[in-house]
Amino acid sequence: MIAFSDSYKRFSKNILFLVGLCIFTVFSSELYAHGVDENTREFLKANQGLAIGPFLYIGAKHMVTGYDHLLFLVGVIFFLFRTRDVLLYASLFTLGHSLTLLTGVLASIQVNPYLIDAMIGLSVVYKGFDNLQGFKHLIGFQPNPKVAVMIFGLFHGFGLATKLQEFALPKTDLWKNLLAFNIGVELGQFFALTFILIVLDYWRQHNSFYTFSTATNTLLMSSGLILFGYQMTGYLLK
Amino acid sequence: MNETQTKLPSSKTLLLSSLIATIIAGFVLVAFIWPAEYGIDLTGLGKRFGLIALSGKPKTYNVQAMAIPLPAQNMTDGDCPKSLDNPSTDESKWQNTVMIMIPPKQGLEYKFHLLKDATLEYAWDSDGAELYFDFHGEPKGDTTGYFKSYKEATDHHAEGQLSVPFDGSHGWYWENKTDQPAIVVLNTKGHYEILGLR
Repeated sequence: MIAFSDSYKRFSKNILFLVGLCIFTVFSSELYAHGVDENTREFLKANQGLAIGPFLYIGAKHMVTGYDHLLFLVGVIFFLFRTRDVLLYASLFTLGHSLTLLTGVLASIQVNPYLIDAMIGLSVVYKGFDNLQGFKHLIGFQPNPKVAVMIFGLFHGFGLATKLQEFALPKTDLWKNLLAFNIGVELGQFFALTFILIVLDYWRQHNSFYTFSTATNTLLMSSGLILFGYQMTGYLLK
Repeated sequence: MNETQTKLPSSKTLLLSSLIATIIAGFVLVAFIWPAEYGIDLTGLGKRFGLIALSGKPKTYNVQAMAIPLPAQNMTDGDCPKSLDNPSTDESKWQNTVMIMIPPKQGLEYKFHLLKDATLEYAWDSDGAELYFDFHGEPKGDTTGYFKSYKEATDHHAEGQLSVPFDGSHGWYWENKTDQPAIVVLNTKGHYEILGLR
């Protein structure tokens, strides 16, 4: 009887958790794409000169609502159990994307947004596959995940850069606005990361984390493939 | 990267996972994302769930076929004063001018009733788009669906004069194959009765 009620309790806890996860997923799919919403668009078109506050905010919002970046982050920290590792990987990602975001915009490096977003989709596929130990099976070893997160960070940064380059921002105080945007991105990333970590940490206390880790990473790969296909179709059509 | 003892998925699991991931992605992409984002609907599911409407390619314009009579246009070019020596300005005037709106991807007919050997003088212009048209006549009282075609082509302009071979309704079938509404301005002159849109 006790054993039954125990396993029932665990079962209902897991169910509760899964329901929560579903709600979270639905909620996040309601979020904006990685594009820029209408109000922000209007602001960026009209803005002249220094605007630290708005650019901070736009950067943060872009990160928090950009599911491509979030999916990648989920993949990266899925199997990182120590805070030290999370910080290390997050810093490498930050280093990567800041580098290309800043140089991309300042040096006006034009990259096709569809191709770069397709590449970002692939980064999600890569991380899901990596979490499934795919590379150990496929090529016998795992490519250095720290290097990988840094390299994919570079692509994510170009992705951020293309979103701003759409607007032909005025040169006056560009680097200051850009820096504000970049810091906003990091704030948003910190916020999102904290949120993801709380959910993951909670999940890890349950058996369902281990039961569903393969399924979750499969889903991650699938999402990445969807993003990839979505962007490649756009590239081929337009 | 795995500092913990999570069990490694086997090759079989890996293969299965990759396969499932690809299948799900392919399905979601083709069934939902293509119709909703790009208006490509291979499965028909996009139409079924109304996703096509999201694609930003308006398939249904809120435009109805209509014909609006306008003041009859002058045949010659507008305001240049006519020579007093040639007071035939009356003859150069059209009798009727009508503006006809053709919704995208649709066709319509605009007809006149004329008696045998009556003359219909006409000129029409579309607002740019080339339209498929069939200038034809149907004998009065005919129920077999017979019609005689006078001119059939794809163009944005046509003009001429026709002495009709039989009593009946005569006029144009225009088809707008573009994604935008098309406007035709039709000028006519002759002994006829306007039947209008069909």
